[in-house]
Amino acid sequence: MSLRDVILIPKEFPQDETVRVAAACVADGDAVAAGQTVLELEFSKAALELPSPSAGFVRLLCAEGDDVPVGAAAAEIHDSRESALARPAPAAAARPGSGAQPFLSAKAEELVLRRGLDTGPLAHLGLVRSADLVPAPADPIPAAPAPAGDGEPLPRAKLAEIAALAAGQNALASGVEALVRLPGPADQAALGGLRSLFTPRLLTLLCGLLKRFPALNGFYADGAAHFHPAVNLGYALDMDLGLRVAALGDLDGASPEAARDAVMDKIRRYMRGRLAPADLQGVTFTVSDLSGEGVDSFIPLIGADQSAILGVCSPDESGRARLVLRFDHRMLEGRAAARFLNALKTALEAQST
Amino acid sequence: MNGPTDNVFLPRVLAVIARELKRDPAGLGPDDAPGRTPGWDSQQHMRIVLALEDSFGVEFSNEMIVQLLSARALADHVRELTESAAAR
Repeated sequence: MSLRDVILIPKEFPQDETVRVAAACVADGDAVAAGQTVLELEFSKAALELPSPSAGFVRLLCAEGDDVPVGAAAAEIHDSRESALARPAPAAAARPGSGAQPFLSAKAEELVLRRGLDTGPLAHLGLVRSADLVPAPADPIPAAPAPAGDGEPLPRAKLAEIAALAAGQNALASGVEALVRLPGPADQAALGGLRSLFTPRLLTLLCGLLKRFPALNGFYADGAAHFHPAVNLGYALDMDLGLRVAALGDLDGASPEAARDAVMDKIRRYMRGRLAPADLQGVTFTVSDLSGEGVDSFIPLIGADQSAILGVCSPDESGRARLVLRFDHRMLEGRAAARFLNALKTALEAQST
Repeated sequence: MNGPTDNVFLPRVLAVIARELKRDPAGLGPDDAPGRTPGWDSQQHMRIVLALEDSFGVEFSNEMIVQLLSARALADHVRELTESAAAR
């Protein structure tokens, strides 16, 4: 009668340090089959089911509503119900890896390797997270007076959105804007430009241009410029279900209809709650299209591991819409960004005539 | 399934639209449309199309989703899809 398997929280998205347990699909001592869903997890970008790797009897190490660190043990599979239900001895209750060396979160492991840190003194923690490795400031800044009450809790979707956005906010952002003439005066903003095929044309042209301006298809980190080997265009979706950036791939050379269908398919999946991790991963440049929302201008936020984002604003009465390119000044200077935006504008207007 | 769209499908389509827009169906008509009817924006249009798909057991093509921009046009297309499915 012994432990057969430990189910760990997988690292699905780089920005996630913790994952919310949305539902426990089994109870302690339940028999489970290999592949049977044990937990439903809510990552920042998607909900996923966590299956059992083998048949046996389950002991849950977390509960519904818990925020569990990535890499942590979420459940155990035992070879008997008695073993699964037996109360663990204190030492055994620690997480896997809790011997002389503690178990490290992905970020903590990165810090340990980079700084050559000794984690031995932290072995009692069982799991070491990056925050455990950062020394407390000697002279902390006094906290602001606490507001009255506990505040209003934000919905999970909003918290996930905040985490995803925060992961990208290390840029020295600057911006350039240009007005682009739309193909016709009537209802060009209908359905975010999808009806007129303005937006699909913009997406296909962008993919081609990003290959000529690789600094806009990369990101800055640790004093170095990194360039993504391929274009994977992201399209921001935010329809009261939490912000998601759908990965459209490289649309260079695609017909406007094919690009429209790619966007519509993602919208459909988003609204039906069926976006999979593969629908969201590896975006290298994002488009945020608010052209259907009646805005003259806005400030889009650059995503994680990206150097730029393009915002599409609503057309004015003369049939022109503002394009806002926000970029990381560490990757390129304003002149190059302006050239990129003007090249996009010229190509779009050439297709419109 | 031979009745005119306005008599058979339009009231049901308007009921779905009203539910999605949180409006009184009696206040909606065949000419209501995205961009013209309060609350019926591009986002709501997608919600309405998906709700119609669920209600009638049909599926709109991407092209039709962006082309059908009035309650009457949606009702006509739902009728076409329903009759086409019944004929198979």
